Amino acid sequence: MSAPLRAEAYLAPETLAQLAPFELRARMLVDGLGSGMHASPRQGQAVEFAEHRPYTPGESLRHLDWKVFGRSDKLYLKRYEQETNLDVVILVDASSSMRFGTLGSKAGWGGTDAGRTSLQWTKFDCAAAISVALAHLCLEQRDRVGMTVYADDVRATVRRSGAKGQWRSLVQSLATVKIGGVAQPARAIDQVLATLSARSLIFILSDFQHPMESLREALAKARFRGHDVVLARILDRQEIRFPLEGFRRFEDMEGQPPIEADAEVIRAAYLQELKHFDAELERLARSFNDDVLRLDSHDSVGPPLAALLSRREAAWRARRRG
Amino acid sequence: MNFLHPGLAVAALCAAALPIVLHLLLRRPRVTPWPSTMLLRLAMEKVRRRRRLERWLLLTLRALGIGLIGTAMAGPLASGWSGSRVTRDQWIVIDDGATSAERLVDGSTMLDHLKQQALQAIDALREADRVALVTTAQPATVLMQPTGDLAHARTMVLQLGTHAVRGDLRGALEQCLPAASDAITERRDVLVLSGWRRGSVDPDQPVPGAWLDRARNVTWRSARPLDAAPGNRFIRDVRVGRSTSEVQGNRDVPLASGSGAHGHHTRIRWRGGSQRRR
Repeated sequence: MSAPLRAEAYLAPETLAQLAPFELRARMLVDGLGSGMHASPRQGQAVEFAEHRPYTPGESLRHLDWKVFGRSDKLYLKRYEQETNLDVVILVDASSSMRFGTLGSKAGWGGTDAGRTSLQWTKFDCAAAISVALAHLCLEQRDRVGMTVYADDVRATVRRSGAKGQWRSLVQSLATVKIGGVAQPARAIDQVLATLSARSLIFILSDFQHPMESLREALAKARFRGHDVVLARILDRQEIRFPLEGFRRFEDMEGQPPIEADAEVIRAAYLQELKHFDAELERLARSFNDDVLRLDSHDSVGPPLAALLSRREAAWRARRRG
Repeated sequence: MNFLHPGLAVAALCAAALPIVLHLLLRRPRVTPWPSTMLLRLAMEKVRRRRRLERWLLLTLRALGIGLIGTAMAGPLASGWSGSRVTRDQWIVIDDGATSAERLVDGSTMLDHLKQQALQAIDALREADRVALVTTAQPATVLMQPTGDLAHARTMVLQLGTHAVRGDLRGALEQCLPAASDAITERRDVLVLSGWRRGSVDPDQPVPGAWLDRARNVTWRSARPLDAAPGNRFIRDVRVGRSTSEVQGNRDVPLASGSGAHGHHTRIRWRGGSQRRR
């Protein structure tokens, strides 16, 4: 018996409305299998004119622009740009820390393993909402989208496809995957990279509550193979603001020894460490020309996603003009 | 350190322990699930040393605060560690009764010797100390209540003369002991200067144990015996024994004991009218 597809509830109409004006643009040239809206490295065979180039003796006269020759007596070749589709891969962290959430879940919301057991809107629920929104956007623009859910190993994989039923497959996978364990992003990224033959856009949705070193190596590999990566860091509001008070025993959800501390005493130091960690993640992403998206799981996913898409689209237009 | 209300001082010490007990026993943490303690651990490393120091400092200050309030309420009388600032009342009882004072020793009267010793005692006082004078010639009189005017005290001593009456040492002590024991100065000394003649002490009237007991915190001293007066007895470093409070009625009261100038032990018993040497 299949699990109920309640994760459909993650794709709120207002999120769709917020994302509607934007298109998900790849930063690099994409060598896709089908036709689409992304720039391809292949030129000369498509119908979209790109530019003129001076003729070099010995080249084929097939693409010579005779009209320009008639007007100016100079030889120019016409170049064409091919547009193709993009492969988008969404990596979703399903480690124990993603079970955390402090926003009470409302009726009709969510339906993931984390949300069902805690009755809270967890970070994994937020990641699921982003995933389905991105998938919807990609499928709308005829891109292929796939997904890998990971923790200490790969928990679930949905192969890349642009088929109509792909979105429901993603939703089904998110609704049924078991959440737990310690995140090993490097291993998951390695496994995903091994399956990618063309340049792709990779979204990594996680709280990144692990040392940066392992991630650095994985991102370096992705960059070396020409993939475009977006790191989406999802934190609960309580993690971001740390509004706790009193003497507390913090039980680590990923099995580390607990810590006892006065919340007021460590608040400033914790927020400083969080800021420092965020800056380090940002620096790491920038060093590979990757994007970073920060999300508060209590907020709607629409506005930050729209901001990301807008930023990428602006960069894409600037590249075209330049 | 002495207190007007020692019970309160003990209570203050107990109360000072209260914050420590609360700190150690009632500090129960609330369990809070947290996604990852990685950043918390880093934050803890930063604040741990500073926080530990602050916490113990705060605890010490709380305990000290309570202790100090309690100690202040208990009425401290002396600070044993600040010797240079010790103030004291020096009561000088001079036996100017005819039986003792008119005895000739080395060509001058016993009273002259006693006055010299009184002047030496006054000269030994410090600036913040006070002196009081009591004479024993019947009726025993407080010539001068405790005063810091040492020059005036010297004048008063020099003006003393012999009276043709017997001395009433008991009466003189009765005059000065209550006042001396009630004083709030850190030290209270009573210096008894007498020839210790039979007529100085009324053998039929024992020293009441009750006020001897009350004067526990008073140090009694007596004049050094004169070498030329072997019949003298003296009292030095007098400390009233615990048993004095139980001594009543016709029983002997061990007034004092000490070592004499020649190394022999002296005990003076008031009751029975004799001063025995052992």
